[in-house]
Amino acid sequence: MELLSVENVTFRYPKASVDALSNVSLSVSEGQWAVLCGLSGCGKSTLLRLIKREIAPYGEASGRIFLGYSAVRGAKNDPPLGDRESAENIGIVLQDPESQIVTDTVWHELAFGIENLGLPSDRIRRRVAEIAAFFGMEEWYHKKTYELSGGQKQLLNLASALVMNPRLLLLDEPTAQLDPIAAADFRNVLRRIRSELGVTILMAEHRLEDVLPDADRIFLMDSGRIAAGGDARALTSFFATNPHPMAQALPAATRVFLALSGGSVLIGGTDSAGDTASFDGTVPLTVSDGRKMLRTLVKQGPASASAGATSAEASETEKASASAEDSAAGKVAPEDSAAGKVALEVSGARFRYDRLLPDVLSGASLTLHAGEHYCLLGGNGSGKTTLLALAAGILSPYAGSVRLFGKKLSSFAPGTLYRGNLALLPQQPRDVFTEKTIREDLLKAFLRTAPDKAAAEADMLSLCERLRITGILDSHPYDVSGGELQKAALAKVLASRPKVLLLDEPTKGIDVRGKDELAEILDGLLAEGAAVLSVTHDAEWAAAHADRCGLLFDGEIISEAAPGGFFDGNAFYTTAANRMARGILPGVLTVSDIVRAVPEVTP
Amino acid sequence: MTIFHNRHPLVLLALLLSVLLPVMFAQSPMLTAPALLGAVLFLAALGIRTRAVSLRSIFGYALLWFLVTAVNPLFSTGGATPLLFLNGRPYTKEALLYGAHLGALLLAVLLWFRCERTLVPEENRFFLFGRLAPKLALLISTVLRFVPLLRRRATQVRAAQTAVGVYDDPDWLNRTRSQMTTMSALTTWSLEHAIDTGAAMKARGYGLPGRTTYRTCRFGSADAALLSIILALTAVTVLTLARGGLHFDWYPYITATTPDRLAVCGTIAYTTLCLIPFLSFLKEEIRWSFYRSKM
Repeated sequence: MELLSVENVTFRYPKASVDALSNVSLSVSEGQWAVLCGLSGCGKSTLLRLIKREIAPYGEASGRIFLGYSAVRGAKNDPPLGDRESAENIGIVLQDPESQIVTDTVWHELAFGIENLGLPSDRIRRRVAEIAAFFGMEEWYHKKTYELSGGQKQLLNLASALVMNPRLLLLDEPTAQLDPIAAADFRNVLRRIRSELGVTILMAEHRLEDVLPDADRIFLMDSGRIAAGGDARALTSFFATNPHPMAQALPAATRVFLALSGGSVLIGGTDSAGDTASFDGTVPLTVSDGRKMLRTLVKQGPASASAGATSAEASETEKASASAEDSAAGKVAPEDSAAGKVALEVSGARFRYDRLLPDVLSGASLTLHAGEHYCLLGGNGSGKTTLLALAAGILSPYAGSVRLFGKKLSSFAPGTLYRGNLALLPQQPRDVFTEKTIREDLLKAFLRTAPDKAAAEADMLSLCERLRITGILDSHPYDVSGGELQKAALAKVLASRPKVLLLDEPTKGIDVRGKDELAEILDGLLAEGAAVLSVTHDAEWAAAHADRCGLLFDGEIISEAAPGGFFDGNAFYTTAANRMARGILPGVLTVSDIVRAVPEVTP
Repeated sequence: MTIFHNRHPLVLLALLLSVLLPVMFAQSPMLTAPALLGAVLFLAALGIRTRAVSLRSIFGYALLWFLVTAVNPLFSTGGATPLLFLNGRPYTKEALLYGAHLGALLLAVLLWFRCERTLVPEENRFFLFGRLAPKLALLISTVLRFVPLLRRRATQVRAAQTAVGVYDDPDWLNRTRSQMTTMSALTTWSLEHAIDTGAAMKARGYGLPGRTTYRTCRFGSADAALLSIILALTAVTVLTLARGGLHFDWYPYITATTPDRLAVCGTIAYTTLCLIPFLSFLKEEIRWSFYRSKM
């Protein structure tokens, strides 16, 4: 039976010139896990909010939405869904973990929803106890909500929605603000909810690699329309014939499959149709599926092919070890390396937030050269953001030093450090904005370095054109999408023309197109000789765009190498493509590496 | 930590009121001293146990006391014994001593509120409100959630602004202006956050008729026993005060009525009242070390 059906829904925001949703129809059956995917701004969130009537956006809407037989919105003679039923039956979890928490303690947060439904105290207590046990929350049941980690906050939001016993759970990019480990935990809980409780899930997401294997149905949205719908295989075949930016958000295995089948290595291969037949119906979605596919591909063919494989393997290994040696040499004598002069040097930095607390950084050292993009990776709470704050001069180490172009940060005269030298793009790009429109804010930033107003305005406009954000200049910083705000914040940070740019999680919550644009901008800066230090959880991003990567663990940087050597040496902290090709195609980091390597080894 | 975590919040409220109201009303060192002693003993014991005594806060309290003491004679010229003259105004011994007393009283009140904060778990405190005004209780809960959040946001915004060079402007006027705009950005964020939280509340059915509450506290026999002890001791104290037994004059000369039997009883009763948190702490300490020795 269809639990949710959306029929011909069209929606337009006030004063907007185009429809945010146009003629959207979809249905989700009881117990299904459905995913709405699409680039940011395609209308995913708008649709979810229309289904959850209490938080529906203002604007002109038409069409009908049903939960079972009751109309969330519908014609006059449709049986309407009551307010109580809507609150009880439809749960929602939004992107920002912080802003959905209402009360100060975990237990009160869990109870809040059922308190509103007016159940007697003992029933409330029983439901809360059940949900706390289901989520394993006993440990933090009495904690204050502000003490929780981001992942815990989002789990709390999920639990607070589930405690109402909803039939339909709406999720709006729930893991966008979480680190990969917390995001995986969250998805595990969702899997349990689906399989053990049978709750129907409709999830908006632009990172398909993690949700595709679990999804029963995927709807691809594009500028307010449903462009395609079906299961993972159907979507993959849609991408095979219709090029779409979202194809880049597919799991690594699927992308390899698409690239190879597009080049007819897999589908419709001439000489080895028998072997590839197994792939026809089964699009690989996970790393293990991908490994199976690669193994079949690499082993197939006559002996000459396998000889080719071993020689390719050997040469790849050589290359990888050579690049590792290169970077090792670079580490020993950075001054003589061709990479450029030392821009930023953190040596033996130790830091703790309080005398009584343990060290966050215990002797971290890092050297950043001009023209180099260094990606710092590390688990949660490993001190990445703290190291960045030290490098930016926001915090100071209690031992060790931070030098910019050989000069201690503290010895820069006031007004010189953050002008033309150093700038930091924080994790929340909205933090850099203080004015009512982005234009005012940027203009103010440019005025601090430009000789006069006209020059400032000209500088600003030329940078904005480069970043392609001229269209949003008159918007309020809270009204633009994450990717746009990220670019606007980058524009503000670049206004001071920094030679060293520090980025904190630049790809967090950004869709595939946004990531590509960001990489392009950074490449431009690097070519001009700027040095970029980015802290990230995103191994794929680091593998594709870094010159050097470092792993921060236990307060120190414990390994440092060019991406080739760095990721190939890691077993877990590496890219999906590398995990997929491990032991089959050595020295592979990205999907395009695999795609390039496969034809070499297949006949 | 102490026995009070299991007590009904009403009992704690009764204790707090019966300590604070007499001491503020009487203005007598005979009550101020035990009130201060009770709070300091309890907080010190707790501080040593949890290793959470901060030198800074001790210094802060001492500074506050010293300031009140030194400043009072500047405003109050009552008292018959001038110590020195400032601009022709007398700086009197009585006013100085009254200032010292006033400072001590202020500290006693502040420290008792601090005791109360450690004695009563937050949710219990709001249970009392929750009974009387459930909406107010929820409002307080959301505010309590919001304050640390705002503080963290302020730190983040300040850090972000620092690193784009807003605060290191050589011109102090520009710097001040930047600080102001940072404040306004925080206000915008607060409003935005309020809208989001409001949506989250509505999404979870806030506003439906017939809201109930999770928390229920039972008033047990132990609560009744402790409450009757507190009420009895308070009755003795109040009786003493009503009879003028602890009357104390600061101006123009410091005079105290000679304590009669009732005044002695009153002082003892009030002192006992003030020592209840400390005594309960000691009781728990003894009980737990006894338990541990059996393990």
